Amino acid sequence: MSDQYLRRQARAADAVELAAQTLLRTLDPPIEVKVALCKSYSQLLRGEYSVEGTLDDLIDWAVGRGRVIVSGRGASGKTAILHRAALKAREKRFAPYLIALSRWDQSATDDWKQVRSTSRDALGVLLRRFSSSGHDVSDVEFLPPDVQKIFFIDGLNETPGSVADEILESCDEIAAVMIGASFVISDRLVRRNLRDESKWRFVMPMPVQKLEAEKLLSHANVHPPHGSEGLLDSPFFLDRAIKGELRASPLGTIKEMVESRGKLTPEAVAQASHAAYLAYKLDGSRTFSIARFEEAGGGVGIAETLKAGGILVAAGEGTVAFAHHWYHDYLASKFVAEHSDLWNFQNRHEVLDALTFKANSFDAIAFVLEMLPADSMGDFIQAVYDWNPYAAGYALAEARIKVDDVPRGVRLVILAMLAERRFDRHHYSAVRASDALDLLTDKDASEMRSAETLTELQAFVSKLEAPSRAYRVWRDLFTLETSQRAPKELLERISEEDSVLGWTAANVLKRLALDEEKMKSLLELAQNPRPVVRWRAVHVMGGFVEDRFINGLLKCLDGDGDENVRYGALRSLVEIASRDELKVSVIVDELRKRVVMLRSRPRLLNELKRAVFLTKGVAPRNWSDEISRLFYDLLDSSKSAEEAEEWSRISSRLRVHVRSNDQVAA
Amino acid sequence: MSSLRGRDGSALVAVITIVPEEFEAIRKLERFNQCPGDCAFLYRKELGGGRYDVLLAQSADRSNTPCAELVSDLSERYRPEYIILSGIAGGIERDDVGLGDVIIADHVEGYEIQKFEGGKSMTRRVAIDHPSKYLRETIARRVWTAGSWVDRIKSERPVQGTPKVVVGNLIAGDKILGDGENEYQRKILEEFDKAIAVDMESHGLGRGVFSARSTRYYNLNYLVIRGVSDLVNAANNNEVRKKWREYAAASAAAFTMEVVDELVSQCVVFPGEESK
Repeated sequence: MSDQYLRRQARAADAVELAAQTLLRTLDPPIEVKVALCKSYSQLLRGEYSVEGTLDDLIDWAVGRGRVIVSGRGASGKTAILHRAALKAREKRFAPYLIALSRWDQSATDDWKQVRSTSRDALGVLLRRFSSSGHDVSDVEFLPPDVQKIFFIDGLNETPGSVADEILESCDEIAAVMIGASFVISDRLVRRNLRDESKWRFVMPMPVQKLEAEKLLSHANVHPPHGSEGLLDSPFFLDRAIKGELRASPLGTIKEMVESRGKLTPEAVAQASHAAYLAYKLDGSRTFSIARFEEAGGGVGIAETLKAGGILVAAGEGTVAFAHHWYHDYLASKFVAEHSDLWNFQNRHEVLDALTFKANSFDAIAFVLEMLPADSMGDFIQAVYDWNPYAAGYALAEARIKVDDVPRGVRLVILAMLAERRFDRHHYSAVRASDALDLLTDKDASEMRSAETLTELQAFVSKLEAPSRAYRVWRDLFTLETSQRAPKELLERISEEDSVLGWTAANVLKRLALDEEKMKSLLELAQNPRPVVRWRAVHVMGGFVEDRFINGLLKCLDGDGDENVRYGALRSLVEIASRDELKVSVIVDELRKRVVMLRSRPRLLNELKRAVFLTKGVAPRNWSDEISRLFYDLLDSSKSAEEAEEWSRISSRLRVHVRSNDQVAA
Repeated sequence: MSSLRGRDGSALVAVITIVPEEFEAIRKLERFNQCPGDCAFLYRKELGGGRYDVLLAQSADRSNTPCAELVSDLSERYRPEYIILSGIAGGIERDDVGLGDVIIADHVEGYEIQKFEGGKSMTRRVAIDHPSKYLRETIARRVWTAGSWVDRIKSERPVQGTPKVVVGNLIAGDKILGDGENEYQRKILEEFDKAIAVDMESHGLGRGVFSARSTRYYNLNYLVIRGVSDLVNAANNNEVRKKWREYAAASAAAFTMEVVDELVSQCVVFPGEESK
């Protein structure tokens, strides 16, 4: 190796050490945090683990498998863990690289789109934009094969959801190709779409030991406020406590820091929260233009005040970012909590997408829930469920509210609907529902989780005492016995304004028997002027192997002006196909005629890729062969070799999925 | 030559198979053991310190992409120096290719990736590695010349005769070719007029090796050895394939293991042999 190269290598290692120590100095005194290895994503999401370990173990796990996701709730110490592990790796004479994604912004997304198909270029963008090492991929690859290169990527959840999946794919490919390369990636508690879960290791940060917390507090001579004891197992809040900034709740602590340390008047807080919301909505990033403060009516003076208080920091070229993403989440969610029109049916999808980076991080949802008055919590959590059922489960689990704060009737409905989804024919829908339910630990959630069939679930729901009239109405719907004739009024229910009742009616109708008249009515409802009614109608059709429904769904897929309706029609077509060996061929042939249209609609294409994966035991015998015909048409019309390979890969995955779970229906 | 280590160890050769008959054909010839850890690979002999002479692996599924993924997985875990794909293929009635013969690919091409424009389709080329000239011209040539590989075939030949070894171009795609009357197949065979065999995985293997070798320190080489189970442009193709499948897999396996043994005898010093 040349002297020039060796000098650059030494500078890169120094830069990593400096970056790690700079961050860790703000967390003084150091808090000892352990980690634990989980057997699978599911085990991690349930909060279970196989073995506890230290930072040395974390590095061993990374080197052994090449791919580690450190996934945990906010404030669980992930950033500190990664920075400490990077220092530890340097001590071991490995080559560590720190990549901090907290400043991911729209321009990073634009850059990313240019390079995502080539994993080395993708890693190059991450190193160039988010690492202080000064090394590029060529430098890293030049290192001898016996030098372990460990990339610590902090804050995957700071990127939009689809980018996060692509980053993981790139890391997966690099770990396979680059000799001695390993990745340790921190993320929030969400399940990512990994190509092959078995290649990854899943690690959770462990709570701070009580003894460790007591020792540090005693040393600092600090007495945390009454009621905050439950927060002291979090490194973030323990650090706040040591610094005398802890309040009785996470939200209270953050509020206090933003508003007091930021020295804002109530009017300025309102304007800052508007600016924070606009940043999420318009910039799609935690790094945003300082002009958002002016657009919110507050002027840059507010930004300067926040900067002076250490709440906001300059991020270069007229942009700023909050010093901790929770400050941003707090302010943006305050704005949403104070404007209930933002989560009405028309706005909720757009607003909740913006607030969560397209369902990438649900802290802000939990904050909204905590800030709302009790009489609005039920409506809000229903709105969240309507947008993303997993997010509703997460918010119920994460929000520091009492179980009774959300009306029991609403809570039971949401839990039961999540539990029902566990029996969905579509594998990924069922997995997501299980994930959400797994986050909840109360008795009702546990009982519903343990139901092994829909009938058992219905029996459990029937036994529960009805806390309200609205609940009784819902329960009477939900517990209608499978295969019985659908009552006349049930079809009308899918036009309900109330989204829970409307969707429950649609779900229930799918499992009942429809006579001739109701089938006609359903087809008419698929032409209803209200998009949500059409969406529910096409959803119901998926439950019946009927030629007229297949034709109706194809008509909606081709011509409906609403994207949700087209999406629902496609899912229902896949569902009908999954119910009948003969119809699979018919539907696949119809979809093959629509390859150009499917290609022009990414949401439909993505859903198609996922919806064809069915749960155990429901696939007809010819399922993977028939679906492969459609996928090979998509392969043949691919615009690039990478895309063609992707279709080949999905076809193969589907075959393996069907075989491995012995899923072919008898 | 010092060998690179993967995450789980290192190996001289890895033999890849696709369908169960191919996997079993190799296992009938040698005793293999389960590799430690959580992978599904088998090994023949441990040479000490997590180094193995031969690994045996089976792809998760037919077709090119799973094969490319298997190469990626093997390379990452064991960094084998050589990979040999052993299995069956459809022969093309050219260059005297016959049922049960062993095809050694000198060039691999994918026929699947096409661009449709103006009512015409054009095959697009994707960068891949081609089979190793060294393995073909030195190791395989020696085995072929010696001829004793035929004695290792552990399956009864459906009709009288002796298998030949034929070297030539191989084409690979995800869709099975096997209908002489099919217009798509006619077009493909016309376009690739030098091809003597067709399979569904070799292009993925070439892609996987190309990708694995895209690093400064790793120079993976591969060979494709295919037994002819049917002739894709002949009548009754499916019935013929059923009849010859097992024998074709066995003949490929026999040739493969002779190549493997030749490589091992040249490259591996077994413990205790140094002093001899």
